[in-house]
Amino acid sequence: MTAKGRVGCAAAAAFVVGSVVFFVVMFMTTFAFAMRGSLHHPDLARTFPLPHHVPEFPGGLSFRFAMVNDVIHERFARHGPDYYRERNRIVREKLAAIDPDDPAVFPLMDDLGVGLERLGKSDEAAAVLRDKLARQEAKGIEGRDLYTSYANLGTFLIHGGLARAAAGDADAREQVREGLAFIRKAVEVNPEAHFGRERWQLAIVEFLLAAMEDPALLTKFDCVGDRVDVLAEPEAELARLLHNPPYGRAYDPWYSEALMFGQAQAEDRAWVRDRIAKVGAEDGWKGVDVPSHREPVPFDEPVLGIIGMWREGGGASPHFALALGEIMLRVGQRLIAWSAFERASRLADRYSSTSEARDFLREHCRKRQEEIEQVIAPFGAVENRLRAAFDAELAFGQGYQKDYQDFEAAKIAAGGSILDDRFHDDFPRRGEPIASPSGGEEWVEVVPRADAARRDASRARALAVFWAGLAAFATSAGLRLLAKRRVRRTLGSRS
Amino acid sequence: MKRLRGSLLALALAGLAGGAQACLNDVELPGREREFRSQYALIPGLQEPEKVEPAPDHDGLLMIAGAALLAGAFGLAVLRDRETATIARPAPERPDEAFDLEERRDPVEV
Repeated sequence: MTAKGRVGCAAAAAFVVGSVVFFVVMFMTTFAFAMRGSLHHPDLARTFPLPHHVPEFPGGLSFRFAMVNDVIHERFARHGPDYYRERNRIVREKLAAIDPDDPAVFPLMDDLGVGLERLGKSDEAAAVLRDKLARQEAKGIEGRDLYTSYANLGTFLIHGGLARAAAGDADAREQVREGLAFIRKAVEVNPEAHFGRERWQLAIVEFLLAAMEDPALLTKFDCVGDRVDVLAEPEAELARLLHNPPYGRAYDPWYSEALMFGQAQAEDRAWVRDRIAKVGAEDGWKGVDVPSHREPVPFDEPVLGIIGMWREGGGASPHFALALGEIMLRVGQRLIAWSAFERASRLADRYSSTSEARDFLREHCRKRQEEIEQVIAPFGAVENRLRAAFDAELAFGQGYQKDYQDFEAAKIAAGGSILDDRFHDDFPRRGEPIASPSGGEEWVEVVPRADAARRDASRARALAVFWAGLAAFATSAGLRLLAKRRVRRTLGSRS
Repeated sequence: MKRLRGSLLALALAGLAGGAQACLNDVELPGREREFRSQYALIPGLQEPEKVEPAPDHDGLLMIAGAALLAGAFGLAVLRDRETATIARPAPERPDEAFDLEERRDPVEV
């Protein structure tokens, strides 16, 4: 063979080996990267708001997990009795001075009714609102303009009758049913509020009425229909591991899939809302007499309703705390769930008129907490630390509320006017943030498949070029060594 | 992807405006609702999880190394040719060497 031919042969051999290695490495790395998925590129991750950040209605309130933490620990400002006594005094003066036919009378009557309700005088409050409603109807006012009358009167009747109704008072039960009828009217005349707090007020009061007839319901469901007798944490954890959407996370897998692949449906608000984990109305709920709540719903709807009722309505309740705990457990917020169960347990005396149900609640909460502790710290005792943290945070919230109310009382006693917009400006803890900040729990991290594929293709190409170059070099070097040996052998045989 | 994230944030931020209904309706409710919303406002960037440091990019180095090895492979092939061409040139093309070989063979035959 000529020298030129030998060069061509060596280069061709290197080229062939290099090419084969290139394609083999490309194929293998591409296959391996595809098998590995996109999670191995954490630096490419982008954050997206969880689907519950899209409110049910445009302009509606969207949920944050911190809201649940804050109601459980009373981390919000709340006016005290001195404030409402002073406000009621001012409102009564205004009502006495105003022409009874003046339309401004009606909002003042709402204020007086709410003020009385805040002081625990539900029956007086209901009387004021009955008077208001009668005057409005006499004037021919109807429809949406009656909304606040219906909502307030219904709430006062329910608050005023619920405790007596639970104790077996038939008249009080009738009063609660009348209150429910007013709440239904409020929902009818204000459809925008249909899926708001009133809807959950309806559902919860319907459940409580049903539980008065059948107390065993309190050991089977929470007030929004989450089962309290099944699906304890080990099963929930198993379901989460098996990617059963309702347990362990706040959204279903299709949401992150859509974000991963950049699908346009992730911009459709109805589609996004449908990705929120659903809770309530679990197995067996169909047999419970709660007509306003029949199907599982996105978890943020009942939670926002409960938060609203807790903050703006009757305050802490074992039923609210239990439902928040069950829901938070189902969406994977175990620490918040633990605190909710702790609060529910401490409010257990108000759970039911029967001691069996109260004991059940305490035992159930303890069992749920133990299950949570097993999951978050299987080898360590965290109960004491969790309880200490809970006590500290509850003391902080209740301390803030007490300071706020003491400040109001002192300032009113000193002649301060609650009508002054700057009344609370010199509250010493005003600059102290009372609400908990939101954090990473509100976001989902997704590695966009296109970005990961681009990175993987670049890496596969680089690896293939490197190994192809190495193989070609090795081939060329090997051929050179062989040639040298052959020449030496030839020369040796000639000599 | 940026547009998708922007759209979702816009949908989410819509939850911070407008009114909401409550069970107890009084003159202070709108103010309390506004304050409540502002306390839990979504602040993109501030409340998001911390970003992971970008992974060091070795792809360029690998490509350069691979290209250098390919060039080296070609270089070796050329070098091999030159060396083998010099050392193993065919005998007839070098009369002196052929003569020497002839000379070395003769005594053996004699």
